[in-house]
Amino acid sequence: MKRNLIMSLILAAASFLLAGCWDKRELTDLAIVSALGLDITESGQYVGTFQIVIPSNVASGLQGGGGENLPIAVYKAEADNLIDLHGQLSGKISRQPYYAHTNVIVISEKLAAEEGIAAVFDGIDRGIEFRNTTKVVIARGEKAEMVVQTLTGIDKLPSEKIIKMISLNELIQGEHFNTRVHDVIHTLVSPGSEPLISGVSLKGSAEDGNKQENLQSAQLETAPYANGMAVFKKDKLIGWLDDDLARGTTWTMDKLLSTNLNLDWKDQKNAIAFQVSRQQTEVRVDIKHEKPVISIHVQAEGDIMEVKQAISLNDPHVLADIEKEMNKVIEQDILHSVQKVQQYHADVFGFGEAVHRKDPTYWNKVKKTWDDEMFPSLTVQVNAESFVRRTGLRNKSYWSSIDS
Amino acid sequence: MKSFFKRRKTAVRAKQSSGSEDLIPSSLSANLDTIRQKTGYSPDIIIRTLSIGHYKAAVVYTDGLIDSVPIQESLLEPLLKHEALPKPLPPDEALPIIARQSIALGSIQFTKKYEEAILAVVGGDAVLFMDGTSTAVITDVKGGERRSIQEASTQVSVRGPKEGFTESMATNIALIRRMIHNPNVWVETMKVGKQTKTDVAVMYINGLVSEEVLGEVRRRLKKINMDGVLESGYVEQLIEDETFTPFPTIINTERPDIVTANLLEGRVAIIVNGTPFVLLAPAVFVQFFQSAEDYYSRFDIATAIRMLRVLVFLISLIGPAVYIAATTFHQEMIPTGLLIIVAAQRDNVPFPAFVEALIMEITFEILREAGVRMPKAIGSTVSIVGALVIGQAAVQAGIVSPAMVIIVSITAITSFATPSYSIAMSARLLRFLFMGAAASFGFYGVALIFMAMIVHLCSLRSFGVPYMSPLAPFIAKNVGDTFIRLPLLFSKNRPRLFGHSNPTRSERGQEYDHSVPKGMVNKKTVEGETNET
Repeated sequence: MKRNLIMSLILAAASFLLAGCWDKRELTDLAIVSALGLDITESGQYVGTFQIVIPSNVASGLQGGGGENLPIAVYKAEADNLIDLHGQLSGKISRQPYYAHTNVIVISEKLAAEEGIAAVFDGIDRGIEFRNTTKVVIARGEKAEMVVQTLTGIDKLPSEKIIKMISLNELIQGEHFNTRVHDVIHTLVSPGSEPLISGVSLKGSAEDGNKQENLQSAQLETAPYANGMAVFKKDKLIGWLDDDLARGTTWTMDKLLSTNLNLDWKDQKNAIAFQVSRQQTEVRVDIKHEKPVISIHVQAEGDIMEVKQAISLNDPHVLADIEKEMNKVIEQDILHSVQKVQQYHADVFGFGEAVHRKDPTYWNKVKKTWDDEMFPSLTVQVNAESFVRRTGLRNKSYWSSIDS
Repeated sequence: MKSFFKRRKTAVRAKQSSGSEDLIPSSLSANLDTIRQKTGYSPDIIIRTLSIGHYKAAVVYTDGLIDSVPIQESLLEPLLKHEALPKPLPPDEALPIIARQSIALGSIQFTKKYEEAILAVVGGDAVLFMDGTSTAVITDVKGGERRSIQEASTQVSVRGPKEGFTESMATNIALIRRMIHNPNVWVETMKVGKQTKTDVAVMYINGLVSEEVLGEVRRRLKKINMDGVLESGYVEQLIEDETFTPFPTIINTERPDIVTANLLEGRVAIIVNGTPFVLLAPAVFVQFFQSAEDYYSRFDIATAIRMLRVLVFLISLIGPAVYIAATTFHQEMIPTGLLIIVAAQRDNVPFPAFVEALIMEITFEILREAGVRMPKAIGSTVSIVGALVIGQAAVQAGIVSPAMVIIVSITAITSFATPSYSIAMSARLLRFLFMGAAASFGFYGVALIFMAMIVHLCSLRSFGVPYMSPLAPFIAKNVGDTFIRLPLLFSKNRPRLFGHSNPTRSERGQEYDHSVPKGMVNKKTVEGETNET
């Protein structure tokens, strides 16, 4: 009895001591990959650029940390697939690359346009370390490697700068939005919608971005900036939407959080600056004469932020006129971007999905020809309904005193 | 060698048992000789011979254990002044008369047994022997130097009675009786410990207490067969249901109000002479998260604080384990920014997280133990060494990371924030088990040990009452006073498992009467002038 007890205790202890710890990784054995850049060579091989955090140089407040030293180390590997990239890295780096905290995956324009992105995402989706909330951006006009290795100023981690920059734009201007791995895969697989991914470019000389000197000037010589949204067809990049066109797209997709619109007033261009602070977009599908008609209904409200002439904003009729003007601007914005996207033959809005939801049997008939015949020739009606919620702290602008 | 000790032991035992049933010799001088001999001529056994009328007598007591005022004024003086009896009686008949007429003390007792008389002497009573009779009078003159009633040092409260128990059993019983004026508060005393003969009192409210529990307490106390019981901790360990558990199954308290409240719930109090710690049984797990103050403050804050205590207990239990598991197995669970900070701190630390945690935890335990035992005069030295050398220098030297120091400090503070010292001790031990599990299996190991702990907790009993009740088994009526505390209006039931002799605490009718309008107290409305114009 006693012997049995002792034996079972030994076994229990052994199960802990022998079986335990096999997947143990000390923090000092991990290389935290904060960004992953993917390029393609002429011969069709992937080039992976790994942005690895040097923790003691990022965390300030510790002795010797922060400021002086580079916050990241960049490693490069060349292989046929992602797992091989990981393997190739092992001869070059002393710690195990760890992807659970990867902020952003940068894909080069060349890879996206020529090879397609579908092949890239299986490894990321399948791997247990990668989060499928990792953001994806396209390096526009640059190698992904360059974007990944460029040092940034305020945010010490370049990867963090990129995603925060895009998020901020999404919040304020609505010309970009962050696309997660999950979103990319979702739009890739579902018929009737296509991926739309933000682009990032570098200003200045891309070669010098990885040097400490780049951080020495107040206005960084080389720095990443958000540049357009990449339009995909299937998994291949086919074009870009910029500025207002990109905003019209986010608006149509009901992803706009707030934006600034400039209105013309009495022959003066851009006389009123209006900030949309709340909006709702509904896409309705009607099948008329075996043809789908898309009507986009936008409700937007916001504040008047700036005027450049004497406008009496306490007059409700004037406000009603401003709202009418607003409606025109919004409708044009959206129509332009819809037309542009129709030229690309890539249904990034997910109109196809809307048709599918509306009438599955009809969708089954048209889904083969949707991208190249139906979508480009769709009739799209836009109807905006805007409302001036506030006019700021002043009803009567000082312009009225200057003019008189 | 072995047999030599064995023989000696039996010899001693034989000697002791020989005198137990002896009667007091009727000859006073023989009697006093025996007493002197039996007490080894100890000088603190005082023998005062005196003459009462024409009888020879002696008063025997122990110096220091008695109160000298009553012994002089109420025992010796009246005896010496006792007038001769009208007609001479044999000493056997005279003694009760003398005792009745001249001993001005509350409690007197006659005995013929020698053992009883001598025990009374060493127990603090004065014993009157008379020549020619084998009866002795035991008079209660207990007194002497004692610690006065002071604030309980281990269970301090902001609101509530401040007095705490002392080392005197009689005082402690009195403190409880002062709170419940009820003839149903019954006390049973017994002597425990073959050598020490320590007084142990069992206190309960007749009619509320569960007979099964009371019987079990009596039975277990009687079974104690130690030579000495020096503190209630002895009794606690000897009567608890399960010895091999880190969890306490009997409550100890220094506060009379806690004892009173528990007596009202149908529990049994065990008071041991010589210690201010009174035991309460049966105990349930949730009680260790409750303090007397919970009932004195309003229910909302009391509930919030109880929740906090559960959190505190969990942190002190698994705090370091979570740190170890998260930094060595589940780095993805730490937010990126925090991970980078922790990684930066750990960059120069030469040990794995588990070893680092172990070093710091053990260091803290050493500091704590040193702090408890050391003389007060060098207290500041230890705190300086602790704070500067361990806290700062260790971090600067790169032996431990600042994050680890924070974790250890938090667990240190949490282990003091638990209201019951005994449950904090359990957490203190189990913490290391959890750390080991976290180091070998990560959160999986922590979860495993946690489940094992819960299973173990559910298997415990305290005097037959499930330790986890009223949560497991779930007793809906009693859940109002567990980790939450409902308003007193709703707590109408005694714990069902041991308070079933009288399950209802309060009758209907104490609630606020809502039929009375809650208007403002306004002179006019009171007088009926509600016309507002």
